[in-house]
Amino acid sequence: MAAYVGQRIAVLVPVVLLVFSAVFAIMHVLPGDPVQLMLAGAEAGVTTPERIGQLRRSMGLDQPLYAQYSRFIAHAAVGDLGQSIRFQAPVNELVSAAAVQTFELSFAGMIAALFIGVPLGIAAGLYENTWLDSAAMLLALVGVSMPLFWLGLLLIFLVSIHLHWLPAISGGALKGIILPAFTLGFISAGIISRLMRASLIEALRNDYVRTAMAKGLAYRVVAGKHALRNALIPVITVAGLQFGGMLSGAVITETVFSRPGLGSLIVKAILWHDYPLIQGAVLLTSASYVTVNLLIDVLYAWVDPRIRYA
Amino acid sequence: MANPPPRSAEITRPRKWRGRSSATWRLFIRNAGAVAGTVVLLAWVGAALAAPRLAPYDPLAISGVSRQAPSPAHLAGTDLLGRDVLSRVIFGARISLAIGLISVAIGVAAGALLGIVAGYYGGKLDFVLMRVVDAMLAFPGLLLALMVIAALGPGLVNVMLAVGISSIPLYARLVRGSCLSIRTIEYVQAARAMGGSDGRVMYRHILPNVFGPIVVLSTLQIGSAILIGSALSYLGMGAQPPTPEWGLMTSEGQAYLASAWWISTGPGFAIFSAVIAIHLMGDGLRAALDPRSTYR
Repeated sequence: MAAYVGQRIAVLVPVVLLVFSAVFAIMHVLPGDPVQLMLAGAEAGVTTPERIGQLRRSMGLDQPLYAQYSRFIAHAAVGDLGQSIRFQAPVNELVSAAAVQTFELSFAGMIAALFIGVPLGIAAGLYENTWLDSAAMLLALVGVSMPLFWLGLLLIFLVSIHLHWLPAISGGALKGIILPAFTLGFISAGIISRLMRASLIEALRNDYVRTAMAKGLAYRVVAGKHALRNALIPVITVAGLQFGGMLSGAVITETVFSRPGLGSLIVKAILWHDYPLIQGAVLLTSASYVTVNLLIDVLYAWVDPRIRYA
Repeated sequence: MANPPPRSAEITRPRKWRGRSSATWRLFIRNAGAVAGTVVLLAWVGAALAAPRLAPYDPLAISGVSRQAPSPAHLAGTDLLGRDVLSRVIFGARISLAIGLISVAIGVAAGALLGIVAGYYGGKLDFVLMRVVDAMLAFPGLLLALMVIAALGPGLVNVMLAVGISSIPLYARLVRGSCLSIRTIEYVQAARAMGGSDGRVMYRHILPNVFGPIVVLSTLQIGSAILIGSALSYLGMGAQPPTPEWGLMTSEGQAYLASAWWISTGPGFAIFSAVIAIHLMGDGLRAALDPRSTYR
């Protein structure tokens, strides 16, 4: 097991280094002077030559490229992501505060996705080729075809504006997270229900199911205990991978519901040309994504020993 | 002693072999969802091509009162500035379909090239290329596209590039995987033994075998490209006003959801209907091209 984890982490190192390099490259493939662009975007165009020179020095942009690169990697490796231009505050603090919000949302989104997807998938799997099955699969199709922002707006329109059930803008209360979580979880719910269905149908065809039935156990028990437990393993894996994907869905969901978080921070930072902030937020997001995926892989290998010896 | 003829040797008329492509077509045409999706998609393509004739008004001109509810004069209402929403949605089909097609073309061209080179040559080159692909996959979905926009700046052309670039890893992985298994098959070995150059073997012997999966993935990717492209415009990173782009229009109407719901709902529904049509068609195509599915 330790060997497997070590091997997985070893493959990760060059990938993470490449991710760092890609993020570093954003600033250097820019046409024009990043400093001028940043000041125009972040400080409303008040650009004096002194300010440009000062910023260039403070960001190390007056140094040769290789020196900038090693400086960036060295600083990022110890968690120093520089200074935001717009907020005049360390990127670390801004990003970690936003990350808490985004993780909250992703977590709630995952709960929503499992809450809808798993029962739906089970129902579709148990009643294969019935109207229930078709309805579940239709919902899955709608889920992957729906623009997230439109789904969010429809929910605001129906649930908040018309029915007055839930607030459209979340003011920190638990009630406020329900709509964004449902919006974010909807796509994953579709994917999870499809997988749950396929996995349950496959599990039900196994010999141990036939044996259990032959013993005279009730179908309810066989399906619910024997088949379902085995069918859930791939679903858990994919749910984990979906959790990583929610970090990107959060970009839209947070914007629709005007929630603070990593996603809306990235969008604002891009519109303001606040490059240190973009770099920091993107680095943290992709690092979390890669870490979550690694954890899922390891968890999966732990649950299913066939994987680590493959 | 003569053996009696085996009983199974009854002469039957040989079944006419219609070939795989005909079977594929019949599998596709009998799939109601796939046909419905194709019809809806063709309707959108028609709308995009005939937009100037179909649209009742100029999509950029003010043709009515601001935020007028749907009426016979303006079937989908008017937006904040008094422009006809229906005309803007019809013209928007041009932009969204173009984003879908062009970004997929970028993704296929670059991704297939990367994948086939990595799979064919293997070794160190393969390792390096695949780590680059892994690094691209380390940015969840939209984030890679956002990074490209951050580097290139907002705009429609950059959206196509961004969405195209973010789909490269998918194609690279798909093509590399198939290439790895195909390159060991005898006929590829034979083509090389006969002196076929690497380029020729890749182009004539390997690429045609990956064609089916590429077509299926591309069809589905056009749907995702439209979704991501409109999302970028919704976020303000893509089309800029007054372009009639579906995502941008949805965002323009967001503030007036309570008083003028039609400004956002119309374009949003357009995205949804186009993408669901593409998904239905793509699923049908996948089922029809799958050698395991048979025509009954």
